[in-house]
Amino acid sequence: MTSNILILCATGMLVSAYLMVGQKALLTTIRLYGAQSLLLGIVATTIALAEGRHELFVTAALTVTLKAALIPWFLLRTVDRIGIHREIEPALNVPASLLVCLGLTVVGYRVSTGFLEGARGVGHHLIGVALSLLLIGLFLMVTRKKAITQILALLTVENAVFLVAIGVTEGMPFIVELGISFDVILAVLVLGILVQRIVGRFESMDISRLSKLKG
Amino acid sequence: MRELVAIGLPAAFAVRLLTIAATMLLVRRAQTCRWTSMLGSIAASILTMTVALTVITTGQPVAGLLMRHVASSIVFDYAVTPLSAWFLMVLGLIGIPIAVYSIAYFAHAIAAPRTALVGSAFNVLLGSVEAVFVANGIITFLCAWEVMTLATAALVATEHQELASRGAAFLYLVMSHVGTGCLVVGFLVLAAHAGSLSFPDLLSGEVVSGTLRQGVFLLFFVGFGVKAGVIPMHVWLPEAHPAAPSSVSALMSAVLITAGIYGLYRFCGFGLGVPDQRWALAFMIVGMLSAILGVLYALTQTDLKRLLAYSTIENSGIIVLGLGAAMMALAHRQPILAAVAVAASLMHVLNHGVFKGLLFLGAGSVVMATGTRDVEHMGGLLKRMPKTGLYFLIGALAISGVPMLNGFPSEWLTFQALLLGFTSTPGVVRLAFPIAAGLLALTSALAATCFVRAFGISFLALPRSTAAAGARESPMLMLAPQAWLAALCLVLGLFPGAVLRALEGVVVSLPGLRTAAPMTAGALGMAPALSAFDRVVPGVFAIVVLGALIAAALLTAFRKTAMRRAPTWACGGVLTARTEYTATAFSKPLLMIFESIYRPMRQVDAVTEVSPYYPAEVRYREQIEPTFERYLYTPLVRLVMRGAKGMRVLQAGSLHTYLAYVLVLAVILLVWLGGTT
Repeated sequence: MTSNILILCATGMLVSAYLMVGQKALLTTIRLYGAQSLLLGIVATTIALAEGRHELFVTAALTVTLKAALIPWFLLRTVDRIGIHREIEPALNVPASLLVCLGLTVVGYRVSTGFLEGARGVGHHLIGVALSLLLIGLFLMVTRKKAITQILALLTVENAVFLVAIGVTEGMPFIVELGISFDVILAVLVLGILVQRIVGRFESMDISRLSKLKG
Repeated sequence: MRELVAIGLPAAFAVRLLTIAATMLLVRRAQTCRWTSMLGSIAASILTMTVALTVITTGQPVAGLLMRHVASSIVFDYAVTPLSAWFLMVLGLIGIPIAVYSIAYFAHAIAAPRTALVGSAFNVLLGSVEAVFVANGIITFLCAWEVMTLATAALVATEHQELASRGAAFLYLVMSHVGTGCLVVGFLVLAAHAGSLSFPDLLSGEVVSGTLRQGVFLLFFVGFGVKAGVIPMHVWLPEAHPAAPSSVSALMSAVLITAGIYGLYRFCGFGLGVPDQRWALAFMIVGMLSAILGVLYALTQTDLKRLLAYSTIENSGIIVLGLGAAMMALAHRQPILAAVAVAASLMHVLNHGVFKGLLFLGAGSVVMATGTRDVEHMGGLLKRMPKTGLYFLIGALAISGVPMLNGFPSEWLTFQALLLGFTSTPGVVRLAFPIAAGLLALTSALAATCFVRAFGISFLALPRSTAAAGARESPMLMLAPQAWLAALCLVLGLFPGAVLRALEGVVVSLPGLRTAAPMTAGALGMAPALSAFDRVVPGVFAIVVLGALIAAALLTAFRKTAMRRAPTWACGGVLTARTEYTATAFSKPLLMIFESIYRPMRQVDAVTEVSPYYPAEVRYREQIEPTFERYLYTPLVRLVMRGAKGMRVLQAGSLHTYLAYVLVLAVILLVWLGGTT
């Protein structure tokens, strides 16, 4: 039962990442990220209940409040304020992107069998999903031009790291977890402000225009 | 005494640091600043010289700790081996007069606000060279090496408002860093195999073998060769020497070059086990090339300091040639012959330092008095600067290898080693010895020509410019160091036996060398301990020359006829500066003889007004081809630039591209490493 829930949630996270890749509307992408974080919270809660690791409840609570609610809310507000709602021209079109992500997932799963924990059923899936998520997040960063999408991609990578940390290992020390959470919030805040500045300066949030700053 | 020696080196470094701090604090008072920096430098040099002389006389190395970095457990320790001590002594012997000279010279040559900078850079340079000589581990050595490079670059760029100075400093920095890069790789390879960073472990001679040993040798050869200024790694030298203030040029020529030589000795010659025959051949070829080409290029220069710089290349070549002969002898198991060659080479390090220091100081005085470095604008200086002229003449005679002065004994010993090498080594490679001896003889003759020209054109006859006509003698503080170095030239030339006796301890401290019997014949003579060797006593020359002089003086004194002064006969014409032999004309015959090497480009323009037979003005321009720059360095630079352009594609300036690199790298690493377990 527990392993089924874990696999279901992990797969849900992977699916949300795929949807983010296939999605051009910024608002929907942010909501997808929120859903992904919610699923991560469920994973944490499930493990906490099943293995009696109570400190994971705190992690779950932090994940849900910060990443599933606060950050999406802040990002939605930013998008509303600057009035740009669509990713116009990704560097790679959607079908091709999905194909590449498929390849990345294969790599992630293939590599996950190399780990010692990969021998156990659930761990194998969690590592595979996390690695795929990480690579897809990086891929999103490479192909998308809007600064908001970049932030979401970074957060996806961060979710992937968290998934491995709580699902496979004994979990990170609490203080580190707390630190990372605040780091993420701070990063999002700073990036959100930066996005507004970029838009104000260049009348676009296309970060490829930043290359004009190069000497 | 023992205690003083034990703390001598740390104390010297402390004095230098304090001096630098004081110099920096006194930045606004140029004169005090000058005195402080130079007196501090002299004090430190005296301390290091005490240590060096003790080590040379007792033969017991002095070692100790300078600093320990606890966090990284890196130890900065030093060890004054007899070889280090020899170089340290040369450094002190020349560093002291140069510092005295600089007190007066910097007042004239350096703008007041820059005094503190130049004064501290002077101290930093000397201190770092001392550290290079005594370093006992990789970290200490490389730190000191790098500081030495930077300090020299700063001194070369003293006149940084001039494009030529900046260019020279840049060229020097680039070449030095290529060299240092080679050294770092070589040291790391050695350290990885020895599992230690300290020199005694690294240089035991059995750390690496096979192809790796050859590779390490090549890296060290290039790395130290750049600093030693041997052809073809010499191109920075003729640019950097004229750009620096004259006393610094003296320091660079006498000291910086020896740092490279020291490296070649310690790491190439005696650090990698018994030398390979090919290495010895490489040393000999490079030494011969440097000697002959260095003097040939020196011959055509009209810039006095550039001429001296090329002559430094020549002497560096002679030193390397001696080392190469020693390595060849070692490769054929001839320890006694090798000892003679090493003694010759190390003796030349000392002698070259002394006379080249003297010549650069003299050139500095001349440049200061006339305001030009071009010998075509000098002339007649002997009447106006008699003392400088005398000292310069002594230096010029010494560098030409005239007996009684110090250029002679070391070149004579080198000849002995080369001539004997032919008979005591087997195989075809022994042909290298007579060829080298022949080329060395040619080099000596050409060097004599070169300095006849340098002295004659700049000091004799009539002044060629108003600046030369108005030249004044240098102040006492600049003359005294020259007098001291000139006296040293004479003493070292008359008592080569004493020098050789001091050197014997140094020579036998090197692995694989030994002497069968003392190489000396009293303090006055040299007689290397092989029956086939000749022996020589320069003192006999002195007695003969002195006797002739006394006889001449007596003859003049008791002559009956009265002395009559008359103008020089000029076939009825009037003698002016325009009728003089020019420097270009003087070297013209040699230029024509060695046309295939110089490949000169001549251009004669005649400006005619009435008839082509009566030109109003003839312009003559001549340029020798910079062979190494054109055929070696220009293609190399082009290659590097093309590579750099290719690399620029990677740095597209697009964030997405950079992120894509990370992604691709992550996937590759995951696939590569993730699949292995």
